[in-house]
Amino acid sequence: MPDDHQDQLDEIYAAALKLDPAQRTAFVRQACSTNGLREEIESLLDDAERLGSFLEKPAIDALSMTGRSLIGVMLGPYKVEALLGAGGMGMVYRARDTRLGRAVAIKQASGEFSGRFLAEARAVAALNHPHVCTLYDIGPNYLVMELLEGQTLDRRLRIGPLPVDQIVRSGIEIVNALAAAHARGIIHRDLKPGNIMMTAAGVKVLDFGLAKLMPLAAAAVAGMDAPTASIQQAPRTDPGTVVGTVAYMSPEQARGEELDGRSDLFTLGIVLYEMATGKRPFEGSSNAVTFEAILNRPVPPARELNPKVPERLDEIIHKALEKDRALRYQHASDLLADLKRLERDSASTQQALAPRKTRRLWIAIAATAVLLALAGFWIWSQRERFSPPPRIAREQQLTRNVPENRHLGFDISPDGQRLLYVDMLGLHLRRIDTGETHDVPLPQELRARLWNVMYFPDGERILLLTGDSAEPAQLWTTSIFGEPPRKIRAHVRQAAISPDGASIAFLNFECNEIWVMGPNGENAKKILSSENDRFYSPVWSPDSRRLAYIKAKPNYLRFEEGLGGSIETVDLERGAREGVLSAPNLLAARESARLAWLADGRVLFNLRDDMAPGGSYSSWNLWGVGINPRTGKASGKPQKITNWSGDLPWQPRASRNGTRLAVNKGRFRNNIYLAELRGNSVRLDTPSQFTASDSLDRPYSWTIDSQSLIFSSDRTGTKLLYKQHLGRTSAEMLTPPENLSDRCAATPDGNWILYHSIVTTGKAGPSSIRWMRMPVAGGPPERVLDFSAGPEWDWDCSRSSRGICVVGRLEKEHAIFYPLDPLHGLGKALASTEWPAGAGFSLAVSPDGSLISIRSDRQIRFLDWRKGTERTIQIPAGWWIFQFEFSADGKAVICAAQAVSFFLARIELDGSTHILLDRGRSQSLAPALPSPDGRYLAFGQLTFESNVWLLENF
Amino acid sequence: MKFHEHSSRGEVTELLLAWGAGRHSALDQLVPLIYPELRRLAHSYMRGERPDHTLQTAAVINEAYLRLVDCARVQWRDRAHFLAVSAQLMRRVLVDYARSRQYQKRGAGERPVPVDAALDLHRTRGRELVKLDDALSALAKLHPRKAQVVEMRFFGGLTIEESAEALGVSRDTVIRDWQIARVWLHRALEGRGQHA
Repeated sequence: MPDDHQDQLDEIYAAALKLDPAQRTAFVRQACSTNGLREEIESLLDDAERLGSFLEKPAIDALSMTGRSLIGVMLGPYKVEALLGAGGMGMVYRARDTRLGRAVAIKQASGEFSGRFLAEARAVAALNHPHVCTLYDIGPNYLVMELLEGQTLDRRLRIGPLPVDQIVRSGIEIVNALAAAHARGIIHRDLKPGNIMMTAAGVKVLDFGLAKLMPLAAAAVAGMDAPTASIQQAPRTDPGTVVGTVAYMSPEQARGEELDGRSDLFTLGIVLYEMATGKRPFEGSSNAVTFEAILNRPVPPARELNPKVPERLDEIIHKALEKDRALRYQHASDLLADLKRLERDSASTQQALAPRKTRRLWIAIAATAVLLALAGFWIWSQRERFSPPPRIAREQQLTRNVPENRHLGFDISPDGQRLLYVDMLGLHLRRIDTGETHDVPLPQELRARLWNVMYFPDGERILLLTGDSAEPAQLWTTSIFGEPPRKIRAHVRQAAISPDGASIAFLNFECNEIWVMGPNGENAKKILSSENDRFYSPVWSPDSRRLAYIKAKPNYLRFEEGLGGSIETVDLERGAREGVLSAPNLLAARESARLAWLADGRVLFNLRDDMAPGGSYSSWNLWGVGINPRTGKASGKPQKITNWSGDLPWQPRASRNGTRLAVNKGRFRNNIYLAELRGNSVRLDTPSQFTASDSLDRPYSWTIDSQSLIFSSDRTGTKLLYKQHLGRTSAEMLTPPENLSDRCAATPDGNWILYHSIVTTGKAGPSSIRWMRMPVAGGPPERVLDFSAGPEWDWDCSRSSRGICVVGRLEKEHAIFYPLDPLHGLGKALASTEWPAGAGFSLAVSPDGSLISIRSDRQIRFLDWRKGTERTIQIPAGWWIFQFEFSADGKAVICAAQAVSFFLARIELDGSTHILLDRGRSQSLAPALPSPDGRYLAFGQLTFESNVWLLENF
Repeated sequence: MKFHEHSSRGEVTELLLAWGAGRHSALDQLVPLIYPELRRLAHSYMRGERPDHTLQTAAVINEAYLRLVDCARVQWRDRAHFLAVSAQLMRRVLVDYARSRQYQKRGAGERPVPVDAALDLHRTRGRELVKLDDALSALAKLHPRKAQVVEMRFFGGLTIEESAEALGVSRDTVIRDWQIARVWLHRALEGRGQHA
């Protein structure tokens, strides 16, 4: 189809759509030069009428599963109300028994139950025990059970070990449940933390005797996002694979023998051990290794991993973990008696002992200064110039959530002793001094939608913010004791409680109005509104008479939203507004921006360090500015409080007296791993961590002798180049390169590190490229050449003393390759090949320099430039290659790529492939650099973490 | 001619600049830096773990941008690049998600049972999304920009204005492309796939 036809069609069609439907026909008739065109457009218009809202809702909404879509389905007498979750057996719903009006949980299987199953299930249904989840009813393909509020032990354990008294208490409850079941001849067979529910009424054991009989839904309907599940799906080439419930098997189960009650007791031993240490006693890199451990390996004392575990508890655990069942606890009642004795004895000693203090980790910010000093005077002086010295703050990390369970919102209690926080698993209350944590009970449906929380000044009542796509942004009140929550307002984006407890300030959903209301949602009154501005983060002055807030312009280019705005205050009695400060680098994003107004009169805010040299990601820091309580204006210059690099802090929350501050800090971390290549370089052994810092370390190049790795790191707060010898754990800093762009490589002669910078010509952008060399042995960088790059280009060096460096550039639909010498610059073109624009342009050079490889999204072409031959292979469908390099033998390329998960692979010159390593979907792998001698593969692995920190003395 | 004033920039910023300056392979290197975060945020949203207003698609991308990019350094064009890549990545995240759901459905190999009715709705949407993804790839061969508009709007959650900025075309052009692409895709999904 000729393009002008298409343009014409597009234009007439679009013009017609703007018209009233009645006028369209006449317009199209007149505008179209041919009948063919007219018919096409009329047919388009007809179809457009039937489109409805097709594609109007973003894809993410279409896919999101809020459970709301299930409302109304009837299952026998049960009306399904919500999706609670999904487990290995299938989906779990909340439903209502329409006859009794009782809320129940329904677990649905993928097929109809067998007769044997039904018989077992009836026996279980007869089991009525306070610590067993009651089975109410059995449908043809579903189970109806007691609805429990709480979280599984499995989820709880992700936060860390449990306090000893809770282990003993829960252990007693579980053994009680087992004893009751064993007495009726029911063996659990599948006890594990995922089947143990922690509720306000204590522990409830789920799925007695049923798990193994349930028709299994394949591979956990929901498990696809859980970290373990994604590992399970990974190909077996990953030597780090850990497999699920094998870890909870008894030796007799591992051997496939008949089970009895003692098998449950062994498994309980495993669970107790995990509660005490946070670690499973038997865990191997494969099922076989785990089996071997269960059958033969002794378990180290739990005390070795957690010194708080009393010796007596260790003894109990080890007796339960006897591999020979004849030597184990013979009956649940024996184990119960031991646990009860331990409970009695420790209760009396606890009263005698003074409150224990756990170790506190104070990380002085001064440590950063020490590192900076090591990094050299140059950086230090730049730092000095750009950022005023921070006030000394003391820091302590309060939460240690894994990347998969990032917390969402939090608050510090008015007395500064407790942290209340929301994560993916629910609402938790943590004592800051002991780290002891418990869950605040909430109705399941509220918990799933919870995203932020706030203390009232009494330290007991709390405010919850919930929301999902159906009911965005509601405000509830409850208490830390889990009183039934009460909804007080809808359509609220952010809220703040006044220090006197008499008022709540809130933002409307659109963020263009600030309101104030009473603590129960009464007497809501609009304070401010604006057509053109957005308001964020209202906070109260210590005397509860003023509000401070951020004012920012909405910007349709959303990147700009979130950056830049001003802080203002408003007097609530008189309505007078005062500007405090305005900054282009103020964090003003809807969700992340939060101010805090301290008792000493300072308002804290979040500013980006635009001028900070280095850091692989932009750094944000907390600043404070004093506010005059009479005028509401700034009383002094803003001062920097923290001196973080690479972190994005948000939501500072202060204790009542303003001496303790909880703040969320998120950061990316990239570490370098090293693995040995085996079996003709088509397999990797288990990778070991080569760099381990809180920084972003990115491998760039091996030295030609394969003895050291050159990488960049922002470990000092500034991105610098380092060289680390294979046998060492510490790195040597190289001379800071000037304007290092995104690549550097060791040259084949072994003497230089070559890198490029991008030279811009003012505002319009590119650009020429400048290559610089610096001696591997150390010394200042020198310019090699400037190069007019053109629309697409790339370069690479052979990883061998026999090789060359090559620059490739797209010129008139041809890729042309030039040799690049670190001393003499560019040589005459070596080769060229036809290459389409916009297809991708990545280059690699073989170790001996004979092959130049160029890659698009879909194919890799190898050019033997001496012989003048070329060969093209296709990249496997669905692979997205991020980076590639020749293998040391020159017979393949090694690439970092993604299909569904992130992986490293070797692609032979004939196009056949080997997967070297697969790390699932949440951690990316790149780049991958084979060592010149072919023995090792170095690669980077990226994760994101975010946790709450406590600041004092700020 | 001048160097950027400061000696070092953020990793992603550098890649954006290198990309803007013609080193197209820098785009590939961006992906591992952006994708995991986008995916994690998107998935927790889809599971209903987080409320939507903290996680609208564009907000996910915005959050990633704030974290990853030194906004003061990059030019408008590079920001547009970031938008475009993120929309592309969101498409990947969402389609992978939908595909894996389908796979599980097949893997289960069970006949549908009544309780699945509501769940099936979810799966059907997933199936449609996979089909749409295929249709979009077909559209991209004929009209790359129209396909990009759909990618940005439907998968990336970008507004018309943002899409126009990212593509460097007028608002009207985006509207026109969007309208025609919707009809084209709708036809393709109904099995009446023909050019528009």
